[in-house]
Amino acid sequence: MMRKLLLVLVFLLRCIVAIIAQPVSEDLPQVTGCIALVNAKVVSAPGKPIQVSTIVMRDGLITDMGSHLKIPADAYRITADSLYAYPAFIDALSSIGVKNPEAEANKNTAGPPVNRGERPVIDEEGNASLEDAGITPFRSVRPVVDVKEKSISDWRAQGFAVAHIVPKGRMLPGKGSVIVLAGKVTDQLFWKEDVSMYAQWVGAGEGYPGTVIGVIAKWRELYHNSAQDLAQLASYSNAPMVPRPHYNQAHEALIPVVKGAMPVYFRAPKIKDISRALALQKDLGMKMVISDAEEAWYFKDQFRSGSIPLILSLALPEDKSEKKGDDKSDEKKPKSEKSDTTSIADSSKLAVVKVEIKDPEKEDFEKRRAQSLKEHYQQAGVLAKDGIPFSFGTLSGKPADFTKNIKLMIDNGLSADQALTALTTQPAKLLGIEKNAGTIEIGKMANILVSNKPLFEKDAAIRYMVVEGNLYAYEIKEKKPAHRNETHPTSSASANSVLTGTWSYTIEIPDAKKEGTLEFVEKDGILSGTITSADITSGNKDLESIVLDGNSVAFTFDFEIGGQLVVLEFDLKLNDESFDGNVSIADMGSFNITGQRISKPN
Amino acid sequence: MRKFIFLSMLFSFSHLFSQVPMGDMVIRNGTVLTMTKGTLTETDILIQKGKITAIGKTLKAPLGIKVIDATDEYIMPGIIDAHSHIGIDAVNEATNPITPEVKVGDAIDPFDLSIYRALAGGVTTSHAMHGSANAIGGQCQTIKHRYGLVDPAAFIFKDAPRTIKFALGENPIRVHGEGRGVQPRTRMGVERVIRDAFAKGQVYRDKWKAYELTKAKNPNAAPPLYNERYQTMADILDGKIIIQCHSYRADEILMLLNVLRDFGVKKITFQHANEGFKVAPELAAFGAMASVFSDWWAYKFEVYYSTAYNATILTRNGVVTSINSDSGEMIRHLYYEAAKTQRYGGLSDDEALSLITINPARQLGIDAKVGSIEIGKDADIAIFSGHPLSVYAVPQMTIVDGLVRFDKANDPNDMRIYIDPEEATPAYYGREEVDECMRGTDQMFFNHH
Repeated sequence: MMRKLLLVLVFLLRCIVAIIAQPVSEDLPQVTGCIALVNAKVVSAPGKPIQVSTIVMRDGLITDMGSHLKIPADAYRITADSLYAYPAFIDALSSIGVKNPEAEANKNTAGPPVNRGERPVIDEEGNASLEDAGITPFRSVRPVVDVKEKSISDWRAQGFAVAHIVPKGRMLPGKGSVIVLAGKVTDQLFWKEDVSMYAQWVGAGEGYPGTVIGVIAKWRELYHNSAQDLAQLASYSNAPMVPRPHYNQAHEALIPVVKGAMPVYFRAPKIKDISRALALQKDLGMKMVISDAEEAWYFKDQFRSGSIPLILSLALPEDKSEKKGDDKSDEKKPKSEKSDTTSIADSSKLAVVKVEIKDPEKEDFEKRRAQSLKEHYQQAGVLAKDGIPFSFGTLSGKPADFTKNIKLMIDNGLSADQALTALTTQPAKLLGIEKNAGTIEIGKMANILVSNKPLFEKDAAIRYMVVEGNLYAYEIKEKKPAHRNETHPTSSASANSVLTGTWSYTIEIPDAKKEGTLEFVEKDGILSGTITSADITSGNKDLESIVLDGNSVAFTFDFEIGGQLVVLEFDLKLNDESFDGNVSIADMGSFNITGQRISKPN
Repeated sequence: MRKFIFLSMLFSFSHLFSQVPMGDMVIRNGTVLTMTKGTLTETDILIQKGKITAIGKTLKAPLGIKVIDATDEYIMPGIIDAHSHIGIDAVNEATNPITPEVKVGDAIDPFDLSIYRALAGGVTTSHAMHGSANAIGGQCQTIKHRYGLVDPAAFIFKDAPRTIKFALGENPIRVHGEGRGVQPRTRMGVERVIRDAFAKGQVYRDKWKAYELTKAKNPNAAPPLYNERYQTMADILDGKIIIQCHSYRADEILMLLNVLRDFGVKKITFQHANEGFKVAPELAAFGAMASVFSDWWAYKFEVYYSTAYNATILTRNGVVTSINSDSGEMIRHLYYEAAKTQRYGGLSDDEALSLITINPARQLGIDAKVGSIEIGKDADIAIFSGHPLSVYAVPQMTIVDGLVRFDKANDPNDMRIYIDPEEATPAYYGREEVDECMRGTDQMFFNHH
């Protein structure tokens, strides 16, 4: 009932979201609390050999596994003969499920604490409030998490089941929690609340502390006062005639950090961010986790002992080389979804430019830049080779780049086992959840990733995700162009004619049908389309990313509602005068759509 | 619980030091301008573990030691710039008229190419200063130009006294009075802001002294709230920090001398001090020092009344004077800047070179270690093709701690250490860099020195 209400509500509000990963259904009917993954090729932990095994899961736990099991009668069976099962990933640091503060939307991170023109409120010492200064260690991430955030399903579709999430903000945004990426209501996501303190090198812009030196000075003062408070609290409870310690929300909140009971996850992507965080740690002595690191190989010695854990960023620098697209370039480069014609045009243009200006100095710069890029790709491999433990965190990564970046790291020296370790057992250890998660073992949380091929191999794709016993299925689309913004310019007019014209459609959602029309037109070989419906009143009617491949057509429709961009993803099969297919909406699932041709183009 | 107090006391001003590489070498047969012990011709200098261990003719040196032939060349102590902003990522914490608690030493940038450029001009040590946006700016950091190392801590001049930036006149007035609508709006306001900070520092210091006394009798006594800002003011009052005050006009220089007298503060060097020549006897009587430009002025109203004889007049009045750059460009030719005092004022060779060696060392409190070529001092040395005060002289080699950090004969085109993986052409390529006082405030205000 809840689900239906939610769906209707969503349609009424036209708040619809879609993801690229094509879940068949984000919400398979759960008639039983028992799932059996039958005869899968199981890698139970990183480094373990593949074993054919059946895994039985009940009430969110792995209850049995082995080769000749009696499968419970009430189990929902997944025939997995051709499939591979791995422990699902654990994200060591991220903002999955964390809402973007609305105020942050039109503001860069270094911006002023309040609207321009408005003077920040300052005390007699000229200091802004703790909030304006970005010092909110007392804040928990919990109130800013929303189960409906698209990032939850996006990262789940990439294989993640558990994440350590932190709030957004400035120098001390607040406390992080461990969540499970499955649940219908926000509370259900939370596993361990307030387990960490999140810190970053972000000043308060025009307010104090504005720069990195202000942030460090503020850290010293806060830490010193918390240490004093801690000592005085002990005196206060043990001895008579001791005045109550002065109360300061920030000092109070940092006491667990001073005690060493709460680690500080310090976001330190670049080399200087890392050296400054390490210097601060030496200075103050808190437990620290260097997080979101992109250049940690400079500090191998500091990380070797493991006393300062390390989380590597899943974001990799992009190749912004001018030669990109040059046929002669022998370097491997991550290709963006540019159409072929564009890069041909680019390279021919470049060829002309190169004849005109040959700048040996620039070429040397280019060589060194390429070397630096390579070193960034090699970070994980180099650290792993040296036996330095690390986890991966998605904080700065994008779901769409995840597979590409992991592969890039593997191409540059990281082994698949090491990658899996950094995505499962290592973060589990870091977050103190290794007894419950990180491997496929009886008694552990039923967090399993099921893929069509061995993980990280070419064309490997996730078929199912089990997150604490909740099943999510994904369809693998073959030979289909990925999400593209340009319409295929080579499509001939005759090929497009199967689609052009006006169509009526009906989307079936439980207890209701949503109807409207779709219109496709072709101009100079380019397809465009619009959608018309009583349900859609938000202005934009344009269909995007229209890809026609024979009788299959896919397109998306997105629009803004309440400041948020939402996307509907259509996937249709055309049969002359009618079509059927489905519409995917992240977090809501996939729905049948049928339609009839109303008219051909004039 | 004790251990937490102990812990919190421990961190306050300790800098954990990483191992800094030191070198051995012998420099043969050069003309050595020692600065303190005259000029020695055809002389060798032996360097072991980064220190000068012997100076003399045809010295015996350990077998296999690196030998540098300085025949027909001039050897002088590594040049010291008493006022610069190179090698740091943050210059101005311009969000409060007083920010004594911030330390630019926390934001050292080991990759700043300006450090290498400075080496190419024979400069081995510089005083990386907080900017002049605030009446009381942050603590500065004396750095050694160990370009090539990655650890920021390796650039810190070990055991150099703490220094702090003060700023008088137009800059703090513009940033805070005009820009942010808070005190100081006038020169009177600047004085008031500084006096107020010292007064609060006194109150703070007294509170803590009282607490320490009570604590001796009652271990459960409640400590006052810790305040990094006023703790730093208390440290200045206690003589633990040398003030380095950005100033131009004679009246404001005298104003600050009066303020310091009232609060019993003695250690101060006036930076820029373009009108220092007007109050040179007063500066000498106070024991204040001055670090000036050779001939740079008229870039704003308060810097119109200036003279190229400033350094000479100050020197002749007994004020310890240095010539500084306040610029990532001028730092490369401080020896020219020093030479100008011979044209304007007729200082002797040693007096002129003292302005960029032993005198700035005195002002920074590091003259026991650098600033002259003497046995036991750090092996920070610049070798020139001719006499460094000649316009024909070209720096050949710069040595820091007995290690060659610049060698004209081996000077690769691209000396960057850190390469941004997403930046094909470095940002400096064809663009000028700025390394001056008001860096970090230019989004809000005009950029001036």
